[in-house]
Amino acid sequence: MAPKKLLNAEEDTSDALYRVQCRLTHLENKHKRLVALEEEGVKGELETIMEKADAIMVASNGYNTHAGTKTMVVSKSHFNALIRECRKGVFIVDKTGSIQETNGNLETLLGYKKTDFKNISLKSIFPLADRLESVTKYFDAFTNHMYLFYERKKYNLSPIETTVLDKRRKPVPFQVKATYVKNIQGQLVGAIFLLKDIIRRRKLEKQIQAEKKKLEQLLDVSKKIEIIERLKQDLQENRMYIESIIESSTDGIVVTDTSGFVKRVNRAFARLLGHSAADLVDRHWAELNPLEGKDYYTFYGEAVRGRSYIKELLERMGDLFSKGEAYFEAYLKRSDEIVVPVGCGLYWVHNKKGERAEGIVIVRDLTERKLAEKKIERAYFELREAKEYLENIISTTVDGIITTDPRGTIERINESIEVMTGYSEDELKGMHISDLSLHRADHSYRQLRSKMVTELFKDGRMTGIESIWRGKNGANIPVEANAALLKDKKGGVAGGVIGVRDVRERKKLEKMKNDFISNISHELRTPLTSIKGSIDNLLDGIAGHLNDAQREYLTIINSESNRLVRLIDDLLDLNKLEARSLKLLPAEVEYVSLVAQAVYSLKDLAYDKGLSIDMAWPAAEIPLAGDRDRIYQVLVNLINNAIKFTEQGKINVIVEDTRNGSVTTRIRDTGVGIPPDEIEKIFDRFYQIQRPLAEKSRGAGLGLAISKSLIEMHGGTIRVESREGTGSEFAFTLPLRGVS
Amino acid sequence: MKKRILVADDEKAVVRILKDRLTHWGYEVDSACDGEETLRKVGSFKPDLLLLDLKMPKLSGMRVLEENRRRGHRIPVLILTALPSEAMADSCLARGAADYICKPFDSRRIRESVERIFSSSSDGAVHEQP
Repeated sequence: MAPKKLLNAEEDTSDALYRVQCRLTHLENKHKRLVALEEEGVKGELETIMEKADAIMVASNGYNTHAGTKTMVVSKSHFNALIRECRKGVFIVDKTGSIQETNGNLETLLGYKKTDFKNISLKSIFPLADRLESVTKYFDAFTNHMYLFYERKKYNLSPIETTVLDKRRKPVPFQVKATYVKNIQGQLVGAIFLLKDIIRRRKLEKQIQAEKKKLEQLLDVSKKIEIIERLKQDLQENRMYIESIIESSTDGIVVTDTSGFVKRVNRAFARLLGHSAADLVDRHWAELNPLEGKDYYTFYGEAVRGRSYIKELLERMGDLFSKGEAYFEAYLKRSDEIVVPVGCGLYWVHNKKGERAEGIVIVRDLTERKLAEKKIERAYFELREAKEYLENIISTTVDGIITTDPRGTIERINESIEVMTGYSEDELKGMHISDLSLHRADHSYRQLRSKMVTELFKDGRMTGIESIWRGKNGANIPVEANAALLKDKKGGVAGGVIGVRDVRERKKLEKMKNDFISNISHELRTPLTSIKGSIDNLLDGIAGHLNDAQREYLTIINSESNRLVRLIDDLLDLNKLEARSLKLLPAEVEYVSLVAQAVYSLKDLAYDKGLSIDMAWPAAEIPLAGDRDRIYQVLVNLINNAIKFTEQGKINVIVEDTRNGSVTTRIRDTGVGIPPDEIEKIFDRFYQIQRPLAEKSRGAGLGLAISKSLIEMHGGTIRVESREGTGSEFAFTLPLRGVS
Repeated sequence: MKKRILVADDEKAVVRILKDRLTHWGYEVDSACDGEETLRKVGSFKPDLLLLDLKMPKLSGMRVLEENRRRGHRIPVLILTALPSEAMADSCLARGAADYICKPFDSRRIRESVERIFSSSSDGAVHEQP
């Protein structure tokens, strides 16, 4: 519909409506006035009497007019005068309805002669008397069945309006009022009819009717216009609604014609492809694909490099044509040549006839999703790889691995544990980790275990746990284990993982090594005994007098032999310490004297290097329970080291007052010192400080390791402080009652 | 009267060295090179002190120590061995050895030990006089 036409019609209608309403009001006012005039205008006496009385009784002349309740009694002459003087048309009918007498006014009004109505039937001048029921009944009441009606008073005898034919047989409207006429005996003789001209009023009413009709029509039109207007508005609102949905959609929306040419796109789609919306209109949908000019299937085939995809796509296209909608994933080319993965929903829009009118494509950018999918996929593969990697390591590792729940119940093991213990995984699952221990029932083992658990929970991990397991066949398996707690996401303890090494072979090798060292040391001692004994005898002059040169050479041989002996002793000590076979021989030791003896024995060595050696001690002797020889060995070792690594200055040996039941001894030198990065390693076996510029150090690097072990066996501790180039201080503390 | 010392060792060099030294110190010395000979010479030579090596052919030093005791010889024994083992020393001392010295030995340590043994044994007169 053209809106302009509608708008004009609307204007016209409202104008017309206004005009009609004005006219109608005017007419109705006029009508009102007319009716008022009729009601309250000048009424003749007859008219007044007829309004009030059901009947008029005509008495003889000289009879006074008397107004009864229903009947008005008038004299004959008065009655004639009433008729004569009345301005309205009046006639009298007899009981048959034939006109007997008129006042001539009606005839004049209708263009008849006065005599024309004489003796004619009422019905001949009232054309509606036979046709309109209300009129018929009215006339019947006064004519044909006059008595019946009069007696029964069945009918309302108020005036009726009907038409009368004029001379030219044209109906003229009149108000008709009739009243019965009685003779003096009270017998009904006829009726008197009074006809009031209502032509003007009728005309007015007709006009009003016409105007009203016009108004109705106009109102009808206006109503229709209103409806249309409302529909129009609704439509507009709908359009805007749809438009705003289309434009605010984050998905791309493309409307194509039935052959795939783009009719419009929304902002989201234009943005997705980096084009303006106008650029995309009138292009073919296929042009937006990365491989311009190729048909759909070739393109999709190349894009995804799989025939199954083409097959699927064909199926989707089939869906589109059969079901009117389809969904598939595709790729679109952006203005910057980048290919965007998208999900497309295709729908046909049909017209009224049910034919396809437009295609609608809803395009969703799948870049983020594809990226996320790829990430998830990658993460999944990485996780799987890591898991496989870990599982391979776990299953192939020679060491045993056990995981447990937080209580220590075995959950998983690797094959090595099965090989080690002889138990199958099923047998081990549910066992407690300590069930494997040989000493599980021992009190000391239980104590040790609870100590280990405490430490494990404190640090989260433990290394170097030594234990002996009992295998399924009863064999003892010495094991060394590391343990760590497994934490869950919230940081709580989820379980434990224990790496177990079967150290049977190592223990066997260690024993072989220890035995070998014992043997070799014995074998070395034997010739050394002869060498040293011979030298001793020679130096003591048992084999005769020696000259100075001979004595000098023998002294050299002697001291080098002593070095060899010390080396062998150290090796053997270390061996024993490792095998834990070294036993202390405790005795009551006078500690200050022991230190003094050690200092004394080494003073010559210090003096030979030009060093002074001093000792400081508390006033009283310190009695100490320990292995005299071993403590002496430690003292000699430390003082000897101090002398060895000091070129000038002095050595101080300080025995401090006993505190807390222990005694501390400091051996302080002014020597080369120890580099900070090496200070932690100096107690390691075979460790020698790397000192390229200094004098070549002597010894196998065993002294400190042995000293540390011996002190610890006594329940003591040793520590060192040093500054390179300034000197070192070794301080060890021994409990007075460490060993008994 | 010179004290008699029997040196029992299978190493001829050691025997020679000890013999020279002990003689030099003024003792009368004889030697044995295995366990059986040692037991024999304890009977024949009747030493005041036995310097006993533990590792010897035929009969080990430990067995000699036990046999000696079994036979009622109350002769003091000084163990001289290349096995510097505390456990071994313990068991020797438990079997009646007077002292335990490791090889290679310090001659001063031997002298101290020998003199201490003789001084204590002369006090208690634990050995039979020849």
